Amino acid sequence: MNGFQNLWTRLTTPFANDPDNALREYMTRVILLMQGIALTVFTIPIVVGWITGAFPLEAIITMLSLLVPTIAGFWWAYHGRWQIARHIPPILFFALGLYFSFTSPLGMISLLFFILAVMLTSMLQGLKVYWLVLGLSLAAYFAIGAGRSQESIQGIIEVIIIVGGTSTGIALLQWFSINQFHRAILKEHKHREELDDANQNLHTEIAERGRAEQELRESEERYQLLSDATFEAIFLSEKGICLGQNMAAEKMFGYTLDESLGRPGTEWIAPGYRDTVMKKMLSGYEQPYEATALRKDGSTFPCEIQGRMTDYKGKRIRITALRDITNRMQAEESLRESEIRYRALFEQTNDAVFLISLDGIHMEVNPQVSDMLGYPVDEIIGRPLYYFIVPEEKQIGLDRLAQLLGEHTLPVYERTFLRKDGTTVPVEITAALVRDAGGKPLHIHSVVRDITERKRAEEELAKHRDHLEELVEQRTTELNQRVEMVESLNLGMSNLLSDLNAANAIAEENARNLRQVNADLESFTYSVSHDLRAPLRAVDGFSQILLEDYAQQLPAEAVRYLDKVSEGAQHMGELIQDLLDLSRLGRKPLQKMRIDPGMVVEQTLKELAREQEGRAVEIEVGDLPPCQGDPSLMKQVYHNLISNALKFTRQREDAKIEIGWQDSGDETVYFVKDNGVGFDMEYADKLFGVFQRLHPVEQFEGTGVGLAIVQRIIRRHGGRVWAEAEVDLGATFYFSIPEEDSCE
Amino acid sequence: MSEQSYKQPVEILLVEDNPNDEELTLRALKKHNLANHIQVVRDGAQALDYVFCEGEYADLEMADLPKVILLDLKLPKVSGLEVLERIKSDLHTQAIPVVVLTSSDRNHDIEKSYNLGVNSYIVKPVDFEQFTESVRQIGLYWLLLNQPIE
Repeated sequence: MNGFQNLWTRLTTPFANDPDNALREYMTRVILLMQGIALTVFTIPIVVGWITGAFPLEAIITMLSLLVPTIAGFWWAYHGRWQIARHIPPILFFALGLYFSFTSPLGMISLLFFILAVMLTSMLQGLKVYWLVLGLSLAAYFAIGAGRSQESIQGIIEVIIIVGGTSTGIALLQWFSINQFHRAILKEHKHREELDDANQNLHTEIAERGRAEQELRESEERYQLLSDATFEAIFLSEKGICLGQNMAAEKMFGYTLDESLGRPGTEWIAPGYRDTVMKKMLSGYEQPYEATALRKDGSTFPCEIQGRMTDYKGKRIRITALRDITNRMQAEESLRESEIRYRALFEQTNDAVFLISLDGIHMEVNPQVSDMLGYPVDEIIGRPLYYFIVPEEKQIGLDRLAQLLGEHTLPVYERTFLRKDGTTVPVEITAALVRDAGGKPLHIHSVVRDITERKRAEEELAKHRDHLEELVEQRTTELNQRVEMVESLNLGMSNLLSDLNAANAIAEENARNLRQVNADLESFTYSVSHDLRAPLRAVDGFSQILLEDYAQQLPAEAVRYLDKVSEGAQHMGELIQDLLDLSRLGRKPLQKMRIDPGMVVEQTLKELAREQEGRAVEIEVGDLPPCQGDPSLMKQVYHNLISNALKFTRQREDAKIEIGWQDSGDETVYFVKDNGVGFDMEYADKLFGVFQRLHPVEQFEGTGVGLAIVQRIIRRHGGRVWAEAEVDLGATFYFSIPEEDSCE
Repeated sequence: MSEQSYKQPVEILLVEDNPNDEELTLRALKKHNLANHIQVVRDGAQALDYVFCEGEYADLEMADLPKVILLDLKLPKVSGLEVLERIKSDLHTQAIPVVVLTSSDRNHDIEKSYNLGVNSYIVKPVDFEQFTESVRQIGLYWLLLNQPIE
C-alpha cells in the first residue's frame, strides 16, 4: 500500500507554490492520470474484440486518439507544464460530445460529454473559459441537433435547464471545495512558513550562543593573560588563606601555584611585619601600605601592598596586589642624598645663590643672599628679580632674563644691587637655565658674588693709573718745553737733556722707593722679630749653659760677667719686643667702639696686682666717663701709665695713685697721677721719645718705649698726651680722647 | 745624625736651620730626658724628604713617622709654612702633631699656621730659662700626655 501511496504522491505532488495554481495542477494531474487509467482499461477489451473481429478498427483508432493526448498531457503535467496539460481533458470531452452529436441522434451521450467538458473546464480553467465552453457546448448541441431534427421549444428549454443547472451546480460545488482546499493549503503553507521561521531562529540562536561562548572563553583568556603579564604579584585569598596567584607572584616569590594554594598569606611576609599584614588582611583595609616581603629562598625585599575585598559566589574574597619597591626605595634614597648634598652646597657656599622662576620671581635663596641684601629671606622670596636692582639697571636686568630664556646661557656679567638700607653693592652674576630630563626649562639658577672689594681695587688702580698718566703727561710737557727751549736757543747743551732724564728717573725711582718702603718695613719687622732674636737667644742661652755647667770652675768675677751678658741679652729682647709692639701700632687698624675706661682700669689693675705685692699702695679710681676708642689699645695706655706709676712710687712708704678725669670744655681729659719720684719738667719734651729715659736703668728698669707707645695710641685716637711733674713730688700724665665727630 | 739613629723609631723631628737654636733645643730636651730619638733636619726640603721618605731618606718607611714635628718657620729652600701645608694636606701625614717653634710673633704667621692646621704655635722666648721651660712643656705634652692615633 505504501508503495502505491508513494507512487501516487510522487505523480500528483504539484510544483506550483501558490496554493490556487497548486490545486489546479494537482487536479490536472489527477484527472489526466485517472483518465489515462480508464482509457487504458477500456482499450484492452476493444483490442481483444478487434482481434476476434467483434469490433472494427475504427474503435481502436478512436480509443488511441483519446489515449495518446491523455498520456502526452500527463507527461507535460508531470514535467511542470500543467498549464498546457489542463486544456487537454475538456478539449477531449468536448471533441467526444461533438463526435457523438454527428454520429448518433441527439441524446444523452453527447450531452453527457458536453456536461463533462464544461465541468472539467470549471475545475481546471478560470471562470471566463467556463462560460465560453458552456456557451459553445450549448450552441454546438443545438446547432447540430437543429440541423438534423426538429425539436420543440419545450425540449430546448429542458436541455438548457438540465445542462446549465447541472453544470452550474457542479461549478458552484467545485468552487466551494476549491475554497476549502485553498484554505487548507494556505494554512499548511503558513504553518510551514512558521516552522521555517522557527527553524531559522533556532539556527540563529545556536550560532549566537556559540559566539557568546567563544567570547566568554576569550575574555577569560584575556584576564588570565592580563593577570600573568602584570608585574605586580596578585593573590586571591579568603580569611588569609591563599586561593590563587598569578605568574608574577610565582616569579617574585618562588612558590609555584600548587605550593601557594592553602598557605596562609603571612608566609609571604617577613616575620616583623606579619602581625600588621594579618590585621590589615582581616580588617579589609584597602589603602596601599609598605612592608617587607619574604621569598621562598629566605631573602627579603621592600614592597608595597594593596588589598581589596570583593564578593565572589557568596564568599568574601580578598584580592591583594604586591609590588617590589626596591628600585623605588633606592631611587628615593639617592634622591634624598642628592637633595642633602645640593642643600649643603646651596647653603654653605660663599656666594649668594638664587633660584628664580621663569617669569623672574625669586623662589629660593640661601642665607648669603640675605646677608648681601640686608633683607630677611622671607622678604626676598616672592619678589620680582628687578626689585633688588638699582633703577638704572632694571631694564638691562629684564633684557638679560629674556636673553637667558632664549639662548639658555649667559656670560658672567656685572650688576648693581640695592640693599635694604639704600646702599648699593656691585656684584658679579653667573646665571644658567635649569632644565628637566626632557629639556623643558624649570627655573633659573643664579650665583652672585659680592665684588665690592674688587671694584674698589679696580678703582684704586684706575686712580693710580690716571695719576701716573697725569704725571707722565706733565713730565712730557715739561720735557717738550725744555726740548723746545734747547732747540730754540740752539745751545747744543745736550747734557741738559740728560740731566732732565736723570731727574725723571730719580723721580720715578722715588715713587718706586716709596712703594718699596711699606714692603721693606714689613720685612724689617720680620727680620727684627726673627733674625735679631735668634743671636740674642744664643747669647743668653750659652751664657746660662756656661753658668750651669762650669760655674764651679769659673772665678766669681767671670760668673758676674756672664750674668751681665745674660741680663744684657734679655734686656735687648725686651727692647725688640717693645719696638715691635710700637711698629705694629701704626699698622693695625683702629677698632673703635664705646668703651667704659673704668672697666679697662679695673682689668689692668688685676693684671698688675703682682707688681704691688708686698706694698701698700693707695689707688683711687674716679668715676670715668665713657669714650670712643679701641679697647685693647686703651688698655695698653692704662697698663703702661699705671705700671709706670707703680714703678716710680716704689720708694714711697705712702704710695698713692689717682686715676681720674676732668672736663675741660670741648674735650674729656683723663689722667694718672702719682706721688713718686717725678721728674724735671726741663726734660718733659724728651719724655715720649723712643728709648728716652729720665732715670738710670739701675734705679728703675725699663726700655724707654712705654710712653712712646702711649703717645702713639693717643695720637691715633686723635687726642693729645702730656705730663706735669716735679722732682720728688710726683708726676701726672694726661691724655684727651675727642668725641666721635672729631676723631680720625 | 748617624745611619743607625734613624733606624730606631724617631720620636721628634726637629726642623731648625740655626745651629745655636738646635743645640739649645736639644739641650733643653735632654735635660728633661725627652731626647731619646731626635732627628734634626736643616731646611724645609730635607724635612719634606724625611716625612715623605724621599730623596736621601728614600729607604725609610712611612710607618716610622715621628711622634711630633718641631718646625721653625724661617727655613732655607722650602719655608716652614709650605712644609706645614704639605704635611697637613697629605692623608698619610696629617695626623702627625706639628708644633711651630719660631721667633716670629707676626699675626700673619700665626693665623696662617692655624689655618693650615698647626697643632701648637710657640714663640721662642729670648730668655733661656723660659725657652727651656717651653721646650720641656712641648716635649712633655706631645710625647707623654697626648694620645695619638694608633
